[in-house]
Parts: sequence; structure tokens; C-alpha cells
Amino acid sequence: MFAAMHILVIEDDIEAAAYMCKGLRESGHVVEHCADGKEGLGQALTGSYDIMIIDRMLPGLDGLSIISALRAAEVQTPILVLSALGDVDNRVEGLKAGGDDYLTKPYAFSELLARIEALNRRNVPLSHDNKLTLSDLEMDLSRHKVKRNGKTIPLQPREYRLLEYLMRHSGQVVSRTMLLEQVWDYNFDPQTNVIDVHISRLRNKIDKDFDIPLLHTVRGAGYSIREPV
Amino acid sequence: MNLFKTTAFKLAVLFAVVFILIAVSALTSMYYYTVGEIAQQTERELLHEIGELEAQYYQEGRTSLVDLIKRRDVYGKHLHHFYALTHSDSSLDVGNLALFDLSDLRDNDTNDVLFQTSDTTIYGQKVRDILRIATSRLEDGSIIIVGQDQQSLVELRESTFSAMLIVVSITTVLSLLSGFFMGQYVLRNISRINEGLSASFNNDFNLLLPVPKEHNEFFTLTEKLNHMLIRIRDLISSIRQVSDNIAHELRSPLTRMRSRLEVTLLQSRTSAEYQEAMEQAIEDCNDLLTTFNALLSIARAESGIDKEGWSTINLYEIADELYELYSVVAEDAGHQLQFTNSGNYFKVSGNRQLLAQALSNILENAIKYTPVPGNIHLDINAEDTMITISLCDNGPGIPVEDRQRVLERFQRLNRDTRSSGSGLGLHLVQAVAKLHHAELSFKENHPGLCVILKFPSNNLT
Repeated sequence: MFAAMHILVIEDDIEAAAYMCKGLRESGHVVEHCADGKEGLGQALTGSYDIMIIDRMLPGLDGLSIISALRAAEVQTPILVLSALGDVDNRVEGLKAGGDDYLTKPYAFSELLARIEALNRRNVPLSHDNKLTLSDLEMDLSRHKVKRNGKTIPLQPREYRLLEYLMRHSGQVVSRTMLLEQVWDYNFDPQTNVIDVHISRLRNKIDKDFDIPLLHTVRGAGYSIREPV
Repeated sequence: MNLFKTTAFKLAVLFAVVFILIAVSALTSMYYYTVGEIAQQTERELLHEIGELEAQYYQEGRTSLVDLIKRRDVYGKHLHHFYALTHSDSSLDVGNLALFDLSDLRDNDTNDVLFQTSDTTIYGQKVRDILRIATSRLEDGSIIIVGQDQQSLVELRESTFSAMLIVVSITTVLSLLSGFFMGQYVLRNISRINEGLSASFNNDFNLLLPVPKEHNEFFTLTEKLNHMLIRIRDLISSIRQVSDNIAHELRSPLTRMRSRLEVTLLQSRTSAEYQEAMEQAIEDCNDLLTTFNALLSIARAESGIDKEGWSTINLYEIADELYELYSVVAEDAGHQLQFTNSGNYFKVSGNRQLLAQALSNILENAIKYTPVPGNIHLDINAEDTMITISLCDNGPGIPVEDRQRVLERFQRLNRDTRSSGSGLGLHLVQAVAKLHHAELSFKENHPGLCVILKFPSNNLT
């Protein structure tokens, strides 16, 4: 289920920003761009956005200061921090300052897209009976049961968590790094296709014996679980 | 640096002042105590004498007094006592004192008065001119005077002064000399360190400071400075290596990508062909990104700058999670992956992400290089203060002569450069091990290889 977002991009690298904005617009979103920190903060305070993408190194006012200022002004908009600084310390810094997600350069555009769409979905409340439903696939979160077409599917704990994350972001593209981060809490880059193998196991259990596949591979980006077209 | 500005010299001057003050105050108080005692004693004696003479006059009359004085005179010469009795007009009647001025003499009190005695020598010694006297005015206007020579007191005073002078001069000279030598000593050592640091700096930190033979504070300082220099040298070397490696490792795939794209553009292609070429380019970029990230991880691990991600880590948990993560992959590849554990204290001080990455690298290597179907065994063992993680496979193993080489960057055993992965895997493991004070080693598994990581646990008991 696609939701167009109103996005503010604060990035001083003009070319990178141009491509990013183009990509975001072509994905269906409305994008505004600022190349200066102070200007960006002003824009962020006066406009109303669904998501902000803020680069750390900016002229005028640096990214983390902008984020701190926004949070102090009680602006709760989800923020994705972009940075060339990539180690754990910097990531922790970025999240502590009030950022919601942290992406290091160079990044894949599909990764960026997947992450901001995931951020946008973050605050959607669950249905009152604590269930996640997609087509005929049903996840009962209170009883830890998964059923498709009425048939119970036994899942290993990790497979369950994987499915839960995908279901919470149904209709969105979820990248491999996002999965490794959210389901295993690791943020390194595995050399092999370890995530792919786990996905294919999951797929075997929830899709293989059923008519309509729900779990899809999005080439170059990641995976997505979505309603059949 | 100016000698007189050194702390050592200033300290020496300070000590000199303190010692002088101590010596002077000691001598002064000793002087006043002794002199005080002597003076008081003299006073008592003089007043006693005067009292006796007065009594004699009032009891027996003047003539008797004169006799007594004459007798005492004889004695007095032994004891440096002097007597005199004047007429009512203040001229000398009897005695061995010649008076100057009696006008401000006080009765029943003692004074220090300059006297000229009638004898200039007594037993060959010249008599001093300072006497302490006690006087008493009789009812007929004449005055009895008893005096005591103050020579010993004067001599004491003078010798105390001389002593003080000598002490002060010696102390000053010695202090300044020692200050000078101390200053020189400190200056010399500090110059040596300064020169050493300049030399090191000018040689890209490849030179270390010469270590002094004596185990004093300069030794400790020099050692610590050397540690810092070594660290700086390693960091610079690490940065250089990263740049070299980036250049080396990224050049080929970048060239490949470029040629692919250039070739694609040489002719007109179908839309599908262009799409294919672009998707291929994205794949190449992804590979580059992976390599790039791996290089950065290694640099970070080697420089040890990830200190904020540092906490107490349970190695068993990481091993278990990675086992679970990779068991599926192993199975999929046709291998069997086992996990065993023993012991109960698995905690170390470390960085979770780096440790996971290292373990993941070893697991991936085993899965990739062991021929199918393979047996891969992950084990974690905690014993006393050591936690050992070992991953054994029944693959081709690493020949002993190559075991050092694989830890270097970009080494792969098989010449198959098309296999995925950048060849940085084991190097990262080595860097992470070093950072955690762990030991990485290889063991023959007959057949196959065991990769062993030994960690010191943070078990303080």
C-alpha cells in the first residue's frame, strides 16, 4: 500500500541531492530541498513534512545540531541521518541526537527509499486484536501463531521475527541490511547471501504450498511482502 | 632554556631560603636562651652582692663596708667582679672602677655601662670594657657599685653572629650550587627528550626516544612517550595502508565497470541491453561498497577508535546467534553445521558488531571453501579466564607455509578471483582479535582446518 510522502532533504552536495530528489519524486513522493543548514532548519520548523533526510556535514549549521533543535522544538517528524561518517560511535551519536535511522555514504538509493518508507510506517497502530493480516496470511502476535488460509504454519523463532518485520512493513521494500539490523541486531555487511537463504526458507513455509506468492524479491533492493495485484 | 628559569633552580633557591631561615632562627633562639640565662644569673648575683654590701653598711658602718670591699676586691679579680664605693661627691673612695657618668644609674637595678677599669690587665688578659653593674645609693649620698664583666657574653654574641654568617654563606653557596646542578640535570634530560621527539617527528615517528638507564621519572616519561610514538606510527601506517588498499582493491572493479559501460556505449543497443548493463553496473557498485566497508571496518578495528560501542559482551550469545544465522546457509549449501559449548563464564569486554563480523567471516569462509558435503563444527569453551572459540571444517585447510600470508590483506588461497568476497575476511578477523587482546591461530584438523580464537574473559575472580 503506497503512501506518498512529503519529504524535506537537507544536503549540501548539489549533484547527490539532485539525483536523490529525482529518485524520490519518480517514486511518487513530494520533495523539497535545502543546501544550507540554517535555511534547512528554518524550513523544517515552518513546513510540515512526513520525513526529513538530513546530511550531517552541512554549511551553516551541522546536521546533528539541526536535529537537536527540532527535537527541542517538539518536532516529532521521523528523521533519517545521512553521513559519510560510518563507524558505530557516529551512528550512536546520530541516534542519540534524535535521529531515527542512520545511513552511511555511499548508500544504495533503494536502501534509502526502503528505509524512509519503513520510517513512515513506524507509527501505524496495530489492529486492536493484535494481529497482522495480509491477504489470507494471518499473524497472531499475542499467541505467536501464523496461519495461511486457515492452516497453521509452524515457524522457528527467527523465521517468525523475520515474517513479523516484513508484515509490519507490508507493501514496502525492505533491504537486506535493514533485515540484518532489525531482526538480528547486527549492522555489518555480510559477504554471503545469508539473508537470502533465510528468506527462501521462510518463503518455502509460507508461499510454496499456496497458490498466490506473497513474499517477493525486489531485484537490487531487497524483499517485500505484499497483496497480490 | 635559561637555567634560572628551571623549576629545579627555583626549588633550590626556595630550599636555600628555608634552610637559612631555619638555621638563623635556631641560632637566634639558642642565643637568646643562653644569653638570657646568663644575663639573669648575672643580675641575680649583682643584686645579691649589692644587698650584702648594703647590709654591711647599715649594720656595721662605712668603715666596715670599705674593708669588705677591699677584701672582695681581691676575690673579685678572680671572678671578674668589680667593686667601687664613692664619696658623697661621686668621686672614687675605694675600688677598682673608674666611673664616667653616674647620672642615669638607677637604684636597685642593673645597667650595662662602659667602664674603664684601673687595671688594664689581669693575669695577662686585657680586661673588656663592658660591665654590668648594680648600684645602691647610701644615705650619705655615696654609691656602692658592683659590676660584672660581660666579656663572655660579648664573645658569645660575636661568635653566634660569626656562626650565623658562616652558616648563611655556606647554605647559600651550597644551595645555589645544588640548584645549578639539579637544574642542569633536569635540563639535560628534558633536552634529550625534546631532541628525541623532534627526531622522531622528522622521521615519520619511526625513531623512538632513547631510554635512560636509570629507572627514574624520566625513564617512565620516556617509556610512555615511546608508547605514544609507536601508536602514532601505527595509526599513520594504518591510514597509509587503507589508502593503498582502497586504491588497489577498488581500481580493478572500477575499471571493469567502466569498460563494461564504455563497451555498451560503443554501439546502439536495445533497451533491454541497456537495462542489463545498468543493472550490472549497480551490482559492481554494490561489490565495491562491500569492499569499501570491509576496509573501513578493518581500519577502525586496527586503530581501536570504536570505543563507544564497547561494553560487556557475552560471546556465547554471539556464537549462538551466528550459528543460527548461518546454519540455514550451511544447510542450503549442503553442509552440516554443529554448535557445541562448555563452561559457564563467557563474558568479555568488547565490541559486539566487530566480534559478530569476525565470527561471521570465519563461518563464511568455512561454508565457502569446504567441499560439499562438509562437516563444520563451531565450539565455544570457557575455562578459567580464557574463552576459546573454534571453528573446524573438513575442507582443504591452509598449508602451514601459507598460514601467515592469509592474514594479510587481499590474499586468497585459490587463485579463483571470481569468488565473491574481497579477500579481506581473515585480515579483519586478525584486526578484531588484536583489538580484543585475543589470539588467532590455525590448527590442522586432519583433514581440514580449525580456526581458533582465544579471548581473555573479564572474569575478575
